[in-house]
Amino acid sequence: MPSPGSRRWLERGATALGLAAMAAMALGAPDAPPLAVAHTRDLPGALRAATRRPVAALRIELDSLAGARDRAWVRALRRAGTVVSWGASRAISPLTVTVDPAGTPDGALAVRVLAPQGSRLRDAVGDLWRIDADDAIEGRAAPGTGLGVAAPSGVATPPAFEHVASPQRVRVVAAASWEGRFVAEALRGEGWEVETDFTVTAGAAPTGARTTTASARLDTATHAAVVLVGRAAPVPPGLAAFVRSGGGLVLLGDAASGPAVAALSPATVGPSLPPTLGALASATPRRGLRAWRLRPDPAAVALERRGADVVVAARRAALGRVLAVGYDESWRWRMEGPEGSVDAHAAWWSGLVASVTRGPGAWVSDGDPAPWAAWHAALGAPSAAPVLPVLARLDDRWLLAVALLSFLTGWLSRRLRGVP
Amino acid sequence: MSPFTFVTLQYESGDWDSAPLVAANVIDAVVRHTSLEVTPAGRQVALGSSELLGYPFAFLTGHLPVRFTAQERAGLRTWLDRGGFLFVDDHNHDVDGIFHKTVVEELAAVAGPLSRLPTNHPLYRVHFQWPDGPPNTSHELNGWGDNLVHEYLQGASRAGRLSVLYSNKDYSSEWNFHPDNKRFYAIDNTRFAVNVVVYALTR
Repeated sequence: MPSPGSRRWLERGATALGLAAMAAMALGAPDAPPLAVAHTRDLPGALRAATRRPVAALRIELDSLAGARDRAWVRALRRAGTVVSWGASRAISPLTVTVDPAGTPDGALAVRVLAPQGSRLRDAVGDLWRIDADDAIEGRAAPGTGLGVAAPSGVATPPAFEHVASPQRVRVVAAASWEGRFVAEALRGEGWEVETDFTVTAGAAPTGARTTTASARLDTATHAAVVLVGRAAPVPPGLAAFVRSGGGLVLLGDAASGPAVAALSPATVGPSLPPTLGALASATPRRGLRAWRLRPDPAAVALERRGADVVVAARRAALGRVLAVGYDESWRWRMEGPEGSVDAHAAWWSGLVASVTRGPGAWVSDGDPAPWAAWHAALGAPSAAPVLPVLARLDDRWLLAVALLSFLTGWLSRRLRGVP
Repeated sequence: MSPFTFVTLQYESGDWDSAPLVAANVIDAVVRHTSLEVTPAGRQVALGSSELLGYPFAFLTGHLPVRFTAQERAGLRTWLDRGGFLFVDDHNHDVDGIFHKTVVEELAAVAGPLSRLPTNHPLYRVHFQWPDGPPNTSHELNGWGDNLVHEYLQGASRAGRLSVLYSNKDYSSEWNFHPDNKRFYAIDNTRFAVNVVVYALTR
């Protein structure tokens, strides 16, 4: 039996312990103990629970990629004070899908995918591609809804893309020649709306000497690009303003050497490079074309070379883009090239024009194009679960029980020794 | 840019060289009336040869029956598919003539059936103006051949582009003279050839 003095000390100690427990509760000790999530599929439920009743710490072990919603939720909890740590219970492969307008008149999308083998690019209708190797691939896809990559490790969805009307009219300007005619034909074949301004100057034609289907005025509201075929092509009025306000310009052959386009041109024109005999019918038919050697401007970027010589260069001019293409008489590729050269020539030309035009659409909503990279960006590198302070690991219910038990012990002790 | 070259097609059957002066006369007309760069002399190219792919414009004429070989048919089909423009003229000026019957069959087999070109076709306005359709030839007006004035030309298109132009107005006879003799004409009767060339180069 302890002495009355010891009992008083015991009673004071019990009271102090009870007060300390209540103080711990009042000072904001967490309502719930740390929470651990062992599988990605359990994360949504755990996040709901941790939001309804805050936890001191959240430990996440991923076995697949979490979606953008869960990622944002975890990040919000961390900013609200929850200690968040994460790790991966198995290796998770990077997964990325990006989509850009291809710039072609059919509104096609240029899709690039980095995903593990066995992944599928799909849209709302079904699968588009199956990825057969752990590698980055790229290709074209028609505009559609619900575009995304489904991989064993998770799902990546690029921003949704909506095709909207924009000008796809291209004006081909040339002194009448086979090149101008075949460029226009190639672009028409690829779906571009083409207007031509082909001149046949001089002579005794009684009604003028211009052969044109071109409308009068260049405007980015109605035209996507202008193709100037050779130095002899007459420069349309307002061309510089058109390009600087966002229009595209392709300078073909020695057109880049014209003084009227010197301020826009990505390159000056040097001596010509002879064609490689027999190359027109080979797998690299452009080597069989004569080409002008281009000297790129410091602000330009070389896009294609023949040996050490630049034959295609590009630059920006305010809001517009300008391409200098040194090849001469590309129609010979179409006429004299190997099987399939009509399509190849047309596709090449369409790509050239597309590269200087704005995409025919607008982004309408955000997607989740790189969920693994975004997870790292949001939550940092994986780490071990942190060791929390003792108080932080105690549940409020335990603190309440300690407080009540302490007060009850002090009260009973006092009653047993006859003190009220 | 390479100059325009007037090509006369050689084919195995018939008489492909029945109007040997047409090339020089057309070249002369193009040089007189336009600023186009032109190869000074025409070329003769075999229809079935790969050389033809280097020349997107070709002229074919004759009096006699035309039967293309398999190689000629295949070569012509490929050439047209890639963008060639063929101008065919019946040197007989005879609607029931044997050249007309046979060459129309051959063209239909390779390029599809010929159809009538309307008088408002761009061919008649692309350089000189012929609001009433193709210009008549002196042979038609003199009542030679079938004693008819053929009021229209025919054509076959590929992907919306006129790829074969067919005439039975006998321009081959009309233009088959030495260009120096144009000085005796009040109006150059080869001006329509300029329209054909300019049309081929610009449409």
